[in-house]
Amino acid sequence: MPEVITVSKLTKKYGNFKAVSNISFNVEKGEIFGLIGPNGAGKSTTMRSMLNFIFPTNGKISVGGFDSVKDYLKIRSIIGYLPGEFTTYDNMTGLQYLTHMMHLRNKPEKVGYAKSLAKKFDLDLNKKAKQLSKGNKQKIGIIQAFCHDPEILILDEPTSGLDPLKQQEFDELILKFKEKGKTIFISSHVLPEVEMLCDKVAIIKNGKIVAENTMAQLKSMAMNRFEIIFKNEVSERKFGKSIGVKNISKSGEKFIFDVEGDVNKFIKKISENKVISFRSMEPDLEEIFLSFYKKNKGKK
Amino acid sequence: MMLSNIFLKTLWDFKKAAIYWLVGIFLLALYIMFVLSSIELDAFQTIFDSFPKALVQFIGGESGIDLSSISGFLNAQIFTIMAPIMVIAVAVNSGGKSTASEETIKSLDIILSAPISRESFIIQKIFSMTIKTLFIAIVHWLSYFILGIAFAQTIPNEGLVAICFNLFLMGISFGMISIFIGTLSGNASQAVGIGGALALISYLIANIAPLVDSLNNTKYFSLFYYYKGSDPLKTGFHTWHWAPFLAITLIFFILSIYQFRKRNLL
Repeated sequence: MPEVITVSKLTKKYGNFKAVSNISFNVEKGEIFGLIGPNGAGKSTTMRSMLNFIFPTNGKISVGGFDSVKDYLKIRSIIGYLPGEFTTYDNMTGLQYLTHMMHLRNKPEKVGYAKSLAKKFDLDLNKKAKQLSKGNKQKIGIIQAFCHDPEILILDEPTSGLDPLKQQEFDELILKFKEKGKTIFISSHVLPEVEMLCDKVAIIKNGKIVAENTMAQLKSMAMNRFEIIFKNEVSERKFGKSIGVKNISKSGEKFIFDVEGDVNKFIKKISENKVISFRSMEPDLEEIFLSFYKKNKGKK
Repeated sequence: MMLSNIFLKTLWDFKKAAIYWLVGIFLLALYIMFVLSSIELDAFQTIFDSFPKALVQFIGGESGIDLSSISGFLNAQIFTIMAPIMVIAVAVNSGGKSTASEETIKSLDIILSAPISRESFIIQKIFSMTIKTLFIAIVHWLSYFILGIAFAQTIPNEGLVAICFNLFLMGISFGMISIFIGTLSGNASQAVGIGGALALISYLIANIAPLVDSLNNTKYFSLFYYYKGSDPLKTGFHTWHWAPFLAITLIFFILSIYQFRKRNLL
């Protein structure tokens, strides 16, 4: 698959502070790529650099084959964008705002699709923004990003403020766009959502990418958890760092092992004992995220 | 279609305020014209003639106060303080908020995610500030022109056009300065505040400098001097007085575009 977004050795400095430091990643066509990290990790800086709101100190970004600094207008004509803090104009109704935005995008004919999306999201477009809740304003933001049918979507915390039902509608919309072959770059701290939607994830910490891979590979790289009940009495001391065990806890008869890396040595060691029950628990994205964060604790 | 671009949308935002300004300025003019046509102006002039020259200059500007005619009264009162306040308020408010307010409320991100260059965005905002300022100046001209005829009073139309045109030029000069400050800081209240403060300082320089011989030449640094120093209501157009306005507008136009283009939008 061709690469649609390429971030190459991107660094953004403000004085001595590095908001992002030498980060690189690629997003392929038709992929949903998630960038996750806590506030201040560099997610928004990366996204805003893609749109030329912020100029890179070093490195290059290409979106849709266009350079983010030289050809930023071409990039803007093929993307849909939702910023982290979306605000509309208080004196405008949703419909007026979307009409204005579609004119600015030279696609006034897309207002009809915006109306149908509003119906889907249960949003009254005739109300002025000042009469709308945060969640309803966010719906306007989502609609304006999607309704002109862009090739690439760049979404910063898109479901912030949405109720669970509307989050589901949003997830469906995203997957529908993916089916059409669109590329979606999403930043979020709603990890279950990222886990469900994204093909690939990058974890960013203190402006650096600490892990980047497909969900499946990230899971294999992260800590594995096993719940085991032994027939006989077993000493915890038998299971040490040499077989990758990072942590052992006991709850009644049940042992819980956190194992890092290759699990073969660990399983070999376990098989030396009689086992009544053996359960492997796949780590969710939250655990993967925490595992990478703990691993890189202190690294700046 | 009023929402088809940034320039028209900014004017669309101004539509209610435009009606309030129109009604307000016209009612003020009506009140002034009614009062002035009902009283004996010479009596006022006699009182003012007894005031110290410095006080008269401070109130009425370098040319002093001539209250023996309606145009003299308009010159001394309306076009010395009230009309400039109104024009500058609209220009500085519109200019200061043009880019900075969009940045402050975070609406700029979405606008600039559309295929619109920063240059196009700021130029459209500058044009809308210019049109709003022109509107206030024209409303002043029209109000006194129409009411002058209605109350059968002599207000020289060439002078009225000249002072209203100077008013417009002074307004856009301060408006452009505010736009530039907004592009520097991205802070709307700072841009409006500094623009307004500069206008106030300029007014004080133009009115205080002529009172003190050693400061007299500082009046040339004040835009208010070029606005009213040639007494345009009486004497008509003085095209060379337009030069500082045009120069300042052009300089800050270029600086604003340059600054807005090169700044990281946070």
